[in-house]
Amino acid sequence: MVSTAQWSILWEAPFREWILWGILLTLWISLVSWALALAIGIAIGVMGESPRKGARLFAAAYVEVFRNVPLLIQLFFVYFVVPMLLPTFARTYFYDVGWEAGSAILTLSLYTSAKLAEHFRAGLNAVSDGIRKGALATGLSWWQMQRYVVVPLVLRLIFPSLTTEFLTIFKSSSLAMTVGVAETTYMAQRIGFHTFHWVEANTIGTAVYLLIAWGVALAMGAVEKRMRVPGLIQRERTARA
Amino acid sequence: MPESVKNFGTLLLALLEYNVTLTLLALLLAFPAGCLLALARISRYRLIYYPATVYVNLLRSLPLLMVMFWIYYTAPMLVDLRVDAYWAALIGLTVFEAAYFAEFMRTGLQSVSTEQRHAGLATGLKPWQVTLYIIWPQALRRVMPSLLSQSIIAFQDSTLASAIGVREVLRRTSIINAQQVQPVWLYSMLASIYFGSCFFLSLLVRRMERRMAGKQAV
Repeated sequence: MVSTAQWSILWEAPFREWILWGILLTLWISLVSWALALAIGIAIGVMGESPRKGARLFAAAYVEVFRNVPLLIQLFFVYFVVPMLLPTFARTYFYDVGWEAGSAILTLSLYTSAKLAEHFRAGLNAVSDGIRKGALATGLSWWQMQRYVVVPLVLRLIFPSLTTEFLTIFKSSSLAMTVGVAETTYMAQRIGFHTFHWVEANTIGTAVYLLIAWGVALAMGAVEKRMRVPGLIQRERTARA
Repeated sequence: MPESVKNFGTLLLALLEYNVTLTLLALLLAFPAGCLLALARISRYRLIYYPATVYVNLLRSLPLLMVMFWIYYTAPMLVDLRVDAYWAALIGLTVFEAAYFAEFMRTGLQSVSTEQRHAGLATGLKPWQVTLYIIWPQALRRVMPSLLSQSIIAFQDSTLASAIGVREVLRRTSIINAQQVQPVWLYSMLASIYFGSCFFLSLLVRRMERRMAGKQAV
C-alpha cells in the first residue's frame, strides 16, 4: 500500500488547524508542567536538605516513587484512579473541565518535580558554607539568605538541567495522547488515520518536535552563557537536546 | 480475594512475557549499536561522523511514541513491509535507546585522557588496539552506572508499546479493567509491581556505583 506523497494536504483546511492546535497544546502542557515542576521541585529539594529527619525521609520517598514508576503508568493512575478517590462533586467538575489535559499536566509536573528536586539538592550542596555565612553576616535573616542569595545562585547553577528537563517534558507530553489529549503526536496520527498519508503526517509531527527542541536548545544555550556563575568551574558540556 | 491474586499473576506474566523480553532484546541490540555510534561520533572521517551525529541528535530530540508510530504505521507506506506490533516496538525501543547509549559511551570515551592514548601508541600498539584494549575498558567502567540507569528507563519505556497495541502489562491492565471495572485496585497493583522492580534495580545500580567510586579513589 505504498501511496504517492501529497504534501499539500498539510496545508489543507482541517489538517492545518489540527496541526496548529496540536502544537499549541503541546507547548501549553509543557510550559505549565515545567513551571509547576520547578516550584514543587524546589520545595522538595529544600526538604531533602532540611535538618529535620522526617522532611528528608519524605523528600527521598517522593523522589523514589516518581522515579521508579513508568511515566505512562503514572499518567493512567492519575487519569483513572485520582478522580475515583475524590468526592463526587469534585469528580464531576474535573470531568467537565476536561480531566485529560489536567491529568497530563499533573502527572508531568509531579514526575519532573522529582527529577528537578534532585538537581536542586545537588545545587544546594554546591553552594559553599562561606556564601551562607557571608549572607548572614550582612544582616539577612535565614529566610532572606535562602530567598535572595542561595536559591538564585542554585537556579543559575542548575540552569542547564532546567533546559534539559524542559526538553524532556516537551517530548514526554506526547504520552498525553494515550488518554486522549489532542497534542502534536495525537494530531499527526489523527491525520494519518484520516487520510492514510502517514508519511506526510508523521513528517510534520517529527519536524515540529525537532524544530522546537533545537530552537529551545539554541536559545537556552545563549541564555546559559549569561547565567553562568563566574568563578565556578562549569560542568562538562555534553551535546544538547 | 482470589480474583486479585489471579490478576496479580496475569500482570506479572504479561510483564515477563512482553516488557522484560522487549527490554532485554532491545538492550542486547542497542548496546553494540550505541558503541558503534559512539565510535562514529568521535571519528575523524566526516563521512562517518556526520551521519552518526545526525542520527543521535535526531533520535534524542524525538518522543519515543513518535518513533514507534513511524515504524508501526508509517514505515509500511515507504517500504511495503508490515511488521507485527511487538517487533515494531522492539525496533523502536532499540533505535531510540541506541542513540542515548551512544551519547553516554561518547562522553565516556572522551573522558579518558589523551595521555593514555599516547602512552598506548608509544608501547607499539596499533591505534585500534589502543582504543579496544586501553580506552574502551576505562570508558565502559566510567559510564556503566549511567548505562544501567538508562536501561531501567528503557524497561519503564517498554510500557509505551501499549500505544501501538502490544498486549504488555499496561494494556493487559486496561483490558482487565474493562472487564472488572476496578481502576483503583488494578492500577495501584500495576504501579506497585513496577515500583518494586525498578526500585530494586536502582538500588543495585547505586550499590555498584558506590563500589566503583571506592575503587577509583584508591
